[in-house]
Amino acid sequence: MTRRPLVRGLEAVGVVVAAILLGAAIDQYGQALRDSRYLAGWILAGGLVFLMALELRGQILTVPAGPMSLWIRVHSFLGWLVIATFVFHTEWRLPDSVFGWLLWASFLVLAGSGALGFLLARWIPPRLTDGGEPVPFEEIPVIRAGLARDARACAMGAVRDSCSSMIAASYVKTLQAYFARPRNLICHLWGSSSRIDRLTAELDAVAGYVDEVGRDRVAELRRLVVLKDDLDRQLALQGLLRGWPFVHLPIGYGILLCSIMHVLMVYGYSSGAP
Amino acid sequence: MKISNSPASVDHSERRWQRRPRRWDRPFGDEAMSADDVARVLALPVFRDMNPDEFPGHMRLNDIIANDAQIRRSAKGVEVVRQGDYGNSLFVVMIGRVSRAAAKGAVSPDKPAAAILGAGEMFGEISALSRSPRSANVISLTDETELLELRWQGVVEMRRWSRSFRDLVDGRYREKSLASYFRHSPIFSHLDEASRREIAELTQFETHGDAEWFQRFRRKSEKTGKMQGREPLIAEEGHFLDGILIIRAGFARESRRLDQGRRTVGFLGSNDVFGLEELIEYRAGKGDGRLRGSLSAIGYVDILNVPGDILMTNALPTLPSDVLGRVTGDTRGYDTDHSPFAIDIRNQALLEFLIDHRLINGAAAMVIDQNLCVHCDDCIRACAATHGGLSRFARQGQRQGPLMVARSCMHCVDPVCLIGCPTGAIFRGLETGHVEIDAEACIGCEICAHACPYGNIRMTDIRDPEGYVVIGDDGGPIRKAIKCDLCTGRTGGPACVAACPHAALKRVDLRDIARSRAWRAQ
Repeated sequence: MTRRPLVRGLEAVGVVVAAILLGAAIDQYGQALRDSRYLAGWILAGGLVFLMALELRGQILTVPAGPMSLWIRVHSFLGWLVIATFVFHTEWRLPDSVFGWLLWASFLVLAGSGALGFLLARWIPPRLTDGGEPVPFEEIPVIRAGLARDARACAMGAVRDSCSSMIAASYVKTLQAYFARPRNLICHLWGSSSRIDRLTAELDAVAGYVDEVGRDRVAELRRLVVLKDDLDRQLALQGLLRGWPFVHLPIGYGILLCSIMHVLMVYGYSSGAP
Repeated sequence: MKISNSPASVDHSERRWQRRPRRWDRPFGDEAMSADDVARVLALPVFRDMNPDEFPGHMRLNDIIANDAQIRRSAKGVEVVRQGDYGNSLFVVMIGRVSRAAAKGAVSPDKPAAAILGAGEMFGEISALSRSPRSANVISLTDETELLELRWQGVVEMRRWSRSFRDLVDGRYREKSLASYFRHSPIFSHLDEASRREIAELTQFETHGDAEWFQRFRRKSEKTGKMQGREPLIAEEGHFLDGILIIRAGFARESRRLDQGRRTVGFLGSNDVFGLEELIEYRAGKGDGRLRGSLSAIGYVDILNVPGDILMTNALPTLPSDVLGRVTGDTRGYDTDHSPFAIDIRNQALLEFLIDHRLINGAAAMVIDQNLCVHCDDCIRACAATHGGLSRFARQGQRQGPLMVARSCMHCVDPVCLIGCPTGAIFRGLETGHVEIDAEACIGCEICAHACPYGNIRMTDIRDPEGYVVIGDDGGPIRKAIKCDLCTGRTGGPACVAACPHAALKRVDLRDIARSRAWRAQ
């Protein structure tokens, strides 16, 4: 077995063991008629603050504070523990106030987006190289514009070369819109090729009604369609990789602020119980 | 002056002008040598026979000495040169004496040393010409030792224009480098001096390939795929060997026939030996004396051809048993079974890829595992943040499977970018071995950028602190060469490696192919 899966397995076991120990400690605290939700709450708050430290580390990359990969692994480990602490804190109960629901839902989105990011970072990178060299994200619009230009020139050239209107008609009806902007992004996330298969089948059908010169043009259009499809796949996958932090980070900041209000309200309206 | 990519709109009515830097703006010493000192240097035996008229008007001999040389004064016991440090200059003793010894700790003013050099004698020319580590410690033996230190830019110009100097230095280089190699090589170090001398006298120097390979390499590799067919053949599989081949500089490919083609089984670098295994087996009566593989030059290779008969009589009878493993390297292929069914074609493809693209030159290549890279560009941001806002590399490059070798300086084993630099602005750090650029000394000639076969050095405009592009007195922007410097001096090592959130990016010595494979498996 290679080292990486083994290490990941050990980390997973570590999370489970740590969560069990944490639960036991919180439960022990509650044995003496103390409200264990207070302890769990403070542990949860502290955990969230530590998790935000990763964001700070990411802003000051020039400071030699250890490799970022180690920070990410600690963040992931703590993240799972924080989810467990949340469960201990809420004691499996649903909120009973609007603010409680807000906090509860925000935490679910935060935890869910974090878990999603954890999985995406493992699932997407190998898929980016499936079709060849990954395209730099910033260059995708430029490349797409170039493909659109080439496709238009190819289709218009077909009218000149072979006096065929089939290819131009197919371009105007289907391909022009296809090349104009990103397409089939959800299909790419699912790994489905049904839309592109349909498009290439249409082109193959058109090829049956044109001469040899026209068939060369159709083959060229087909090649451009496949290139555009791969570009859309890159956009979908890279976009998702880059996009999920835009959910995770703002929610994280929001929860920190709401937690301060939550603490104030809990202590303000409590009867002084520890 | 600031090397920066900060966006700034250039107001053409307020251009910043600056005289374009020239080669000798920064002499080798604190200042250019005085005329009296130059005259003293020219009186030394090494330079006495040189004809100043052989030098052109723009590269006068006096100017070379004044600007590319410096006089160093050392007290007794001071270490002038340390073994293992990278060298880029030669020395001539002007006054006093120095001692030179190869073993660490064996030299001091009071202990006997391997060699004592007096006034007029030269040392350090091997390192200066070959850009290799110093082979010995040199220590001052007298209180007011004076040494002339000539940096290799000056050595190159003197060699180029003066026939007498060229003959002197080349002859010494061949004689001393050979003697030095034989003293340290595990194949010959167990022999006495007389035996080594006898072998050295019969050894032939050979050069294969194209010394200017790097200038054409980039164009060729982009046009065509396989490079193997264009590599000059040095020795052919199946032929009877007449001796062993020792690589002195450059790289060579060892390949064996497989089906209709040739399979690369490994590469040989400096100090690796080809044919020793077959020779040992032949002497023991176990082999037929034929070569089991072919050897071809990768770009350019310097070789020592040592005749087999002198080896069999002088060296092999007393050769230590562990020598074979130490000189044939550990990169000789992945399998011993050469049937097509035994070949791991993916690992074979990686080996061919690294050799075909000459990436085995890389001692600190940036390798990115595409199966882990999430394209966050934190590596680029960290590099830019560490280097004044301008990243020193591009997250693109040659790819083999999931491994990508990014376009970042690889700090090559043989950095050809150093060859043409007129000012020494691009240099190899004496202790670290990292190839660095001194921005103050760079005159923007672009020789290094064009020389780099991998396109890892680029030129950038210089801006003043207010963001204006600095314009030279010829009207064009002043540019400087920039490249990855491995964050030399930064605590924690390269910022790019530290910033990668999924450990997808590593700096790898590509010569160690086994380590590259193990890293991928982690």
